[in-house]
Amino acid sequence: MQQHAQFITNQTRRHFFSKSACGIGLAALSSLLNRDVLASTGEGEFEFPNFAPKAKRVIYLYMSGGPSQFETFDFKPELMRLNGKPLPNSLLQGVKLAFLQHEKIKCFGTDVGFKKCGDSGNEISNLLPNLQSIADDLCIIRTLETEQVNHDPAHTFMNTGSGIAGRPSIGSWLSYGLGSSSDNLPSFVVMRSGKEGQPLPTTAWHSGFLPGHHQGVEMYSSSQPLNFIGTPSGISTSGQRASIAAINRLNSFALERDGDAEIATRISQYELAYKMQTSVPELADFSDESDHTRRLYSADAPDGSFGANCLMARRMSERGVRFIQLYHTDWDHHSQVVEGVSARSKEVDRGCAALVKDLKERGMLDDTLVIWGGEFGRTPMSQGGSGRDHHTKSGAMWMAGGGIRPGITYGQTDPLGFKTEENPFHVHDFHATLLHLLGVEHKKLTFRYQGRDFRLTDVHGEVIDGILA
Amino acid sequence: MNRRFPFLFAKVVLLVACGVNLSLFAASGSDQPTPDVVQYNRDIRPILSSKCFQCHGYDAGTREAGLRLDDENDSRDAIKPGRAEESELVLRIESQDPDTIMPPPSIAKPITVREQTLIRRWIEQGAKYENHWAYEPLAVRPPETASLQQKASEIDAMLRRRWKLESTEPVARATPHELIRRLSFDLRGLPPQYEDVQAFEANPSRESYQRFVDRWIDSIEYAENQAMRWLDLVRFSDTTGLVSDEPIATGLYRRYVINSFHNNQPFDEFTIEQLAGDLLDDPNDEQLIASAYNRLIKTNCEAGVIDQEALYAMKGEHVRGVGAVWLGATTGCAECHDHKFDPITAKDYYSLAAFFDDLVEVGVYTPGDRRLPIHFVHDSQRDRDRDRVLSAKLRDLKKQLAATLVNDSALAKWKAEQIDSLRDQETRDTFHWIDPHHATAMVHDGDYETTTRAGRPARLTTSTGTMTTHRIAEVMTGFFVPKSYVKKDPQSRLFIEVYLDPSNRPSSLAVQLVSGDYGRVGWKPSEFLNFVWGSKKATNAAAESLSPAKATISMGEIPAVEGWTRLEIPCDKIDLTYELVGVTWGHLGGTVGWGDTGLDTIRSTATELRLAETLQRMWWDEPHYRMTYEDRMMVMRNVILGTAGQPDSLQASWMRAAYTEATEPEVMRLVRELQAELFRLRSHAKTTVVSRASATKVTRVLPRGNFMDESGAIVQPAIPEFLGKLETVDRRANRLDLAKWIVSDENPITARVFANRAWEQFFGHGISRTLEDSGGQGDWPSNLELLDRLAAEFRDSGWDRKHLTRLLVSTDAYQLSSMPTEALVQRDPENEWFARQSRHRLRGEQIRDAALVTAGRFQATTVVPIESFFPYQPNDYWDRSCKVMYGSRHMLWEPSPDEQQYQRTLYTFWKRQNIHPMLLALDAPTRQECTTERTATNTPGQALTMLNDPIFVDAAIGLAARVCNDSNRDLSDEERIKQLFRFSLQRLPTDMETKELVEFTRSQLAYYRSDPDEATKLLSLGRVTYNDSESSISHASWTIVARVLLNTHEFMTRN
Repeated sequence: MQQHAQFITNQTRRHFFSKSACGIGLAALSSLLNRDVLASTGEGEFEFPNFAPKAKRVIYLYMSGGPSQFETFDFKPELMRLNGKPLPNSLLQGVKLAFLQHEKIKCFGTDVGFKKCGDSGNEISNLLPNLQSIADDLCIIRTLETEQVNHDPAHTFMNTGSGIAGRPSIGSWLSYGLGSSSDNLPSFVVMRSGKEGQPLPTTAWHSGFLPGHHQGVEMYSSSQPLNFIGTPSGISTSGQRASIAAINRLNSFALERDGDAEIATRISQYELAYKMQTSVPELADFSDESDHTRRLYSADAPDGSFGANCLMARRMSERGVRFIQLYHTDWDHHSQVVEGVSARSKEVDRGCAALVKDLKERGMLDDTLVIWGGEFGRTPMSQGGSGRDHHTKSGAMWMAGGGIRPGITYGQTDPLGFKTEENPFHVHDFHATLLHLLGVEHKKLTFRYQGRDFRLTDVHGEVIDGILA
Repeated sequence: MNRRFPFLFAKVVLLVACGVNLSLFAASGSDQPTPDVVQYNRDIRPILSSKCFQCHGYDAGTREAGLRLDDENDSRDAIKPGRAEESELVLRIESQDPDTIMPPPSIAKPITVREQTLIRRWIEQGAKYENHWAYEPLAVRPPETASLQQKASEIDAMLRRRWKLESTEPVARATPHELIRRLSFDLRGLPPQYEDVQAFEANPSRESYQRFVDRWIDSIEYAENQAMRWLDLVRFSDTTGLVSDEPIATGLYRRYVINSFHNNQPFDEFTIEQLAGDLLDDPNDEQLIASAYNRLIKTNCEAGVIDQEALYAMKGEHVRGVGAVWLGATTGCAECHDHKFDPITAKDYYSLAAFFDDLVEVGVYTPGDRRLPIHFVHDSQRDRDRDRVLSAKLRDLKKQLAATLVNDSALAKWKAEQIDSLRDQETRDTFHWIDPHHATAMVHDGDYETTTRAGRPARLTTSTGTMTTHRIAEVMTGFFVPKSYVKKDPQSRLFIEVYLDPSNRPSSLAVQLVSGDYGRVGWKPSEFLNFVWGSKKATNAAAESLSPAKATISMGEIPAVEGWTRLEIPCDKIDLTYELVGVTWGHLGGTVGWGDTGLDTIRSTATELRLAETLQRMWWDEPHYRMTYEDRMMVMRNVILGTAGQPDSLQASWMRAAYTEATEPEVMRLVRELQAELFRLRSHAKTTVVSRASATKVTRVLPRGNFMDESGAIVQPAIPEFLGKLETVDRRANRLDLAKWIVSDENPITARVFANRAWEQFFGHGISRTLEDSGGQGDWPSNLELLDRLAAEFRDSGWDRKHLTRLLVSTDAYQLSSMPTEALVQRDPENEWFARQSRHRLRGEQIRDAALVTAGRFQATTVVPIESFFPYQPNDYWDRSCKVMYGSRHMLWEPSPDEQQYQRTLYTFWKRQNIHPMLLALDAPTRQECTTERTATNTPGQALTMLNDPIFVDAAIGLAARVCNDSNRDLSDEERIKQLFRFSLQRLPTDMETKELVEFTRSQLAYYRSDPDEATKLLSLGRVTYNDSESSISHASWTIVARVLLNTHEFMTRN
């Protein structure tokens, strides 16, 4: 049977257990909230993790819009030398172009300055001084390849492994495969920062055909960090507590009468909802952070900045949230790419470095995977003289922490940075490697829907050993 | 059976609470007993399909070792009937050697011991293949006269045979309360009234039951509830679904669907109208509205999108749609390769896509494009007739123009003149932009009289007291950015001819300039700029009565003349970010005639603007590839000047059209007049996206789905080969042929798919559980005889949907209790035998509707609305996620006015990228893809929604009001609790429940008495205020109690 249907079937199955077995009281139910129970992977036909995970959680710093690699992590002197000259035609065969479909194609080199950093000699742009200071912790990847050249499908591809909307996102797959890891927070949380403008679809963290509880939950930097998290005005905390208790008592009468296990679940979820109402505001209260930490992130409260979101991410990591995505917008630099990357770098550089340092200081970097990257790279050719178009053949990202080999640069592009010369890193490979680091064999994490065993990696994906510690 | 699902709470609960052995749940699954007589379809096909066909199945492209296991003849190399020991298949699947074992370990799909046994037994028993059940012909039954009840009994008999076979007994009939509540939710999606339950309890007879069925099945609520499912299926929404996710006009289609269910339109007609309403002879409005189905696909307007790629993506949407909605087939798989599990080839996929190649659509739309073509639906027959007359006349005139012979030397001469004009930067010239009588425009607001003043045409308006305005925008004469002309010609100015009546002078004149990105007002103009003539007071008045403007600029006094004069606005004062697309003219007091509005500029500018009109006309109601369309005001100029090289044949044809228009002034005068009238008429019509057939696009078989590879063969429209062939003599098959085949006797699938879905709706799960897949990987029906009987009945009843509903709810099986016996829990945990009813959580829409009904707030539908409404939602959700790209069309979520808040939830504005968070939490799909069946999760997020979403608090306030209003002043707490139960759960409370809530109520009363301000705050969420604090305290306290009931599991469950 297909798993989508199986899930629906289970809704029938999990109704009704034998009434003669025993009644079920609230005391017994409270243990339902035990995280191991929530994390139960049940049937045992497959068990995740498949092997000991290197990383227990992921913080994915998602630079939305497609950051340019040429002003960040892929230094190309040859491009500067050929600035303004036509790009060899041979490179363009069979390549999907977006805006440059309509333009003359010329090389575009910029001079932002790069530095070989630390012991590793990782080359990082001078626009990112804080990242330069932690270069030895980073594994820089310069050969990111994708298949989608426009934002919407590229986001969808980067998050779900398919350009067509409707498949589960990475975090949803992990929630499905590994279960919940926090007893009072969702296991997949998304936050955003940066200028409004280019839209970020909520479908990027949707659970697709997986059951809805695997969906990513968006948290906001406001007094209402989650949808409907606040008790309505005019109802006190104790009133809310008492209401939930009354609801659960009525439900437990029904449970006694019918023996319908779905009621038991309902009772436990109301308990959990109450816990979340307490734990979420506590999560967003930075007053227990030291001055040192707050200075590090340059954040005193969740103010919607990228730095504050990074600190929130660390706090969520400590509380068991498994997959955290921080979106930062406005990296789509079709014009004035130097100015654009420089401005965005000022917004994110400090927070990124603070997060890695802070995790390291707390001994959490070893089992926390930090990822930085966008939905695609950008062209070595100019668009309109000062910008760069979307590009599928090359792009940069970096990873650090849990199971990643630190202080290396992986993948080599051609002298113009147009495409991979050595060690490609395809989105499917990225997904396979990510799952591997979490102890999941990507071919085994499947869900049957519409007659097919779907995977995050579709029918592709190789674990890239070269970046593993 | 695949039992991989990890989220089995039932087992968890048992383990935790009771430590009961798991075997209770092991009745199905890998330790299921193996049947003595093995059937290919039931037992073997699922194994081969999921574990072998991937490499040894339909897809020739990935077939290994030349072996096919899906085909009886081809499989004989590996299968020796009756001789399992000699069959290579058995040796391979039972092998211990990693080099020879099948499937290879790398596939990670090992064959279980039970499956090995089944395959062995099947081969021993002769290895007989069967055709797939869904593709077997569906026998036509002779006409019969049996009554509904007899037919229902026949259904029950089929179930009883199964029960007998399993030596089981069904559970008892549901209690009257359970049954009538179930029926009400299943038919109407709403709870019954307590009085309904009481009436049925007093007389629970079959006749009494049938009266409820009859009453409810004819209600509009029934139609709305059925429509909800259909709208999931066809992925209905209010937006385009990609990137900027712009609004599209689809509300009429939703109304069509609801009316179709309400009027019980036969399903075959319903099918044909949606797929091909536009291809019917002389289609009426409703048939055209139905054809909006084809336009519900996602469309993109990102500038970097590649047209071809996007067009193929849209073909995929069409094919997946037909597959999901009508064929229960996962056709999408065949996009890149032959289907691995079903006999659908890649060629079949692309041939299905070719049916939709006639549709007018483009790969990359222009932002703000309404997703043309749209159809205009008039309210009155007179307007409808006039629209037809005007359209017909225009068609004739256009034909006449097209047939005009073009003399090459005259054309060359004209072109030379145009080039001269385009280069002339000295001579002053006038561009007549908005004609006083004959402006063809999409937007036409406000009334005026067309007349003449002093021999010149004018739009006459009279103001008494308040400012009178009218607006014309998005005109066929184009759009421009006035500021951009200043550099070339500092004298450039916008002018407005105005007639000032000497006997009734206005006290002020106002001109509001309307700007919109990409030359469109879109659905929300970006900027307004006001210019006012008259006193400061008048300026303020103008600013107040016009749309909120970026600025209001005073232009001094009204010219001290009588009769015609000219208002002028220097272009350098027109500081707009986007293109000027229209004007609002207004005045305070007096009578004013409005004449020409245009641009006073140099000849080159006036010429390029004039030349643009031809293309504007040509592209007026059809979409074009964004990159050309966006520049449409400059395209003709560039073609004539040859700035982009020698014109190609298409460009040359554009130029000829412009020449013809310029040299046929008499015909063009008529065309302009008729178009102006037509579009003024249409500016007040309702709109819908619509299917329109035009020159067909080309579809090729794309190797591995790669649109850049043009080596594949061009295909013609055809149904999948294994299902037959459409007979169209000497004619390309079209959508209408496809639709007719779908509902023909030759297609056995659709009736089965629909009957299975109907069964799922009324029994909780399908006879085949996989509603989305009736193909080889689909679930084998638990009772094929039953499914086929229902499918045949449905088809042979003339595709009568209400008949099928009546039949299903009239069965005894439907009316069984949902409480299983001990034996059934153990022996049929998944309820395959239907010896009991099922339980499930209500859908998100139904929960909200039920809350509103319970609160006495529900606004029943009297007229099916076309516009969607905007319920309250958390600010942060939309604030950050709503943002629509590209300046002018940022869409904000503005909650609808209070009086619209209580509409039925299915009318909620459905933005695919950001569906309403309450619906999201309660498992509603985004509708980016077709959804055949929703999941129903049980999450803390749902609990938070039910507890804290203002609409549910509001409902609690409403429900509380029903028990503590004036007429209930003297009721005891116990009586009030009884009432709350009647309203919300349609039953009386038990003693235990009463006791629990009495105590709870007292604690709440105590709390609000201690802090009456809290009561006021709470009630303000429902906009309720009291003068005396005792009333307020009482209402608030009961609100908290009411809220408890709205949050019970029972409230949100259909039993």
